[in-house]
This record gives sequence, C-alpha cells and structure tokens, in this order.
Amino acid sequence: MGIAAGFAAIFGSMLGLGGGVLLVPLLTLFFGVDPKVAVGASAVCVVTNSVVGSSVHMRSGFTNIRLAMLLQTTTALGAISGAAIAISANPNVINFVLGIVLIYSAFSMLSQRRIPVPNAPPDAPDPLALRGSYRDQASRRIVEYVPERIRLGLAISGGSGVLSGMLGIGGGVIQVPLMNLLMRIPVKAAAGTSSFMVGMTAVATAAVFYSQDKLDPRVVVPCMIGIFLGAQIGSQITRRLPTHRLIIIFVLVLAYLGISLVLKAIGIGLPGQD
Amino acid sequence: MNTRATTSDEDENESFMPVDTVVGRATRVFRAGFSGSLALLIVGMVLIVTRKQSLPSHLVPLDEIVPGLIEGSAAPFVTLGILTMILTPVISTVTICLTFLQQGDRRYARLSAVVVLILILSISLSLR
Repeated sequence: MGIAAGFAAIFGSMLGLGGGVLLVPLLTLFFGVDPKVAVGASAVCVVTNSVVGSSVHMRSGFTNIRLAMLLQTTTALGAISGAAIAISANPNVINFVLGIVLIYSAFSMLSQRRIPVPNAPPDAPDPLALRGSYRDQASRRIVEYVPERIRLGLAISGGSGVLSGMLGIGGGVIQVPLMNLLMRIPVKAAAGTSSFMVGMTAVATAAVFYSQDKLDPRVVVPCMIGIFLGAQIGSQITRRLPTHRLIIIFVLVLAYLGISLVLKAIGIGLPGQD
Repeated sequence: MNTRATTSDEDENESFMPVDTVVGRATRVFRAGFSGSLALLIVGMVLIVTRKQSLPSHLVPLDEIVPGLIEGSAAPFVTLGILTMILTPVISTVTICLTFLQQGDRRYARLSAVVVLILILSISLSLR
C-alpha cells in the first residue's frame, strides 16, 4: 500500500495533482478498501503530498503564492460542501463520478500536451500583481507569466473544490488544465501552484473525515510513508524534465483508472481486481 | 486574446523578491511540519513494534490524545502525527498572511486572512 501511495505521489507531485486522483482508485480497486475510507485516507495523503512536494516546488519558483491565495478563496468553500455530500453518498456514485473526472482529465492533459508555452511582452498589464517567474532547468531559461481570466479561474476553482471535497482528491485534475489552458500559466507553474493549493483544500476534507471517524491509520500511515518518499522524487523530476514527456504515460494511467472505476460503478469488474 | 506570458534570458525582476521572502518562510513551515509528523509516526511505529501492538483502526479523539501520550500508547502518537500533517498547511497560510502584512501588501494579507478563516471555520464545523 505504501509503494502504491509512493507511486501516486510521484505522479501527483510531478503534475500538481496531489495524488488523490490516483490513490483512491488504487486503494479501492487493488486493496479492497471501502471507498469512503479510501477518500478519507486520500485526503490526508493529498495534504502530505502537498506539504512535501511544495517545499521543493517553492524553492524551484514554480509556486505562485499570490495566485494560490486568490483562487483558494473559492476552492476552499467548494471543498466544504463537497465533503458534506461525500459522507452520505452511495459508493457507486463516488466511483462513477471519479471515473468520469479521470477520463476528462486524460483528455485535458492530452490536449494540453500540444499547446506550446505562450510568449508575450514582459510589460503585460498586471493589476492584481500576479506576475510570476521561475528558472526552467530543462530549457535553462527564465520563464515569466501573468495569469489571465481571473474571474473564470475563480469560478472553476470553486467547482474543483466541490469535486475535491466529494472525492478526496486535491482538485488538481481540474486546477492544472484550468490554469494552463484558460489562465495561460506555464505547466510547471500551474503544477507547482496547484500542488500548494491542493493541500489547503484537502485540510478541510481531512478534518471532516476525522470528525466522522473515517480515517483508518492502517490505511493512512503506510500511504503517508510512501508519499514522504514519492513526493520528493516527483518534485525533483518536475524540475529536471520537460513535462510533456510525462503526460502521455499519465494520460494512459488516468484513462485506465477512469474506465475501471466507471465499469466498477455499473457492476463490471476487471480481472485481478477485488 | 492577448498572450501575456513571456520567456526571456533576463535575470529575475527585483519586484519578485518580496514574494521570495514569503516562499522562504512557507517552505520552512512545510519542512518543520513534515519532519515533526514523520518523527511522531516513527515514535508510534516503534511503540507498536516494541509493545507488540497493531496499528489502530481508528484515530484517537482530540480529548484523549494528551492522556494517551503520557501513558506512552502508540495510537495517540500516530494520531498526533497525522493531525500535525493536516494542520501544517493552515500554519503555513497563517505565516504567509503575517508575512504579507509585514511587507505592507494589504491586498494579499486580506486574501490570505480570508483563506485562513475559511480553513479554521471548516475545521471547527467538522469537529463539532
């Protein structure tokens, strides 16, 4: 279970997804963990992945803290309502919704792969002082950006918060494509900022599951230990590799897990799964 | 649609330096959080092994943590390790808020304060 969590953390931290989007299906499909317990454990693991991974992302300059604080206002409110829905929801409904989210994310990542890093003048208007910059080790250049479409970003962040609270994922599956495709933020900065945000979002979710006595240390502790290692590895990979090389593998993993969960929700189990 | 990002070989603009201070402090809080959490989990695991116990299936309620720590039981250490991790982003956000305030960036100090309030509110509601 710890190895599975470490695997989820490597990919999660690498692409700013928190890891929950991979961990919940891994726990439910391959370890037979009850979906609600898996969602609770995942929320703690998302926080862990965020804390460990962000400490590396921040040093790399990938985390835009001002942007994170701005978007987090709507994301956190969405997470509270999502967590309340999850406590009383049918496990099959959770599996189905998560499956659809994964398939959507796969298509988003695939389309994101083909979009080049946008170029623009350095004196672009920046009324909210959200300009960010980082040194890209892969291309050995300084990348500067100013986020666009802030209002739309705030609205969609609220929606990703609802999904996060409901499913125990960090919401990064929505946030990263949102930031990159709509707000014109480079992928590494989107991943670093999302990685920071998903931890704050998952705090509220984890607290809800703690109060409901749905955090099982037999599941949480092995996963946390795996994530301590996996998140650091994933963050270091982000620094050194062009993200588009990793997206194809990630899309395949997301699509497989998404389809598996949708099939499980409608009563069709794949061979080798509980 | 205007494209507003740019790539250049220029050194980082001086205007980013205040944010670097925020990043530095937040990073230190994160490191302290995960180091503390990991240490508590290790203590809990050592107690489980030495006392031939098994990992608990439930976390300890808040009001039973301190008595349990005094008794030297494993479950309170494991619970505190998990709770330390959960609270680290909250402490980090408070630190970020205070740093923005110290730098005179009132807009983002206020936004950070709103995020802290939402986090505290959601945690308080969930623990009732």
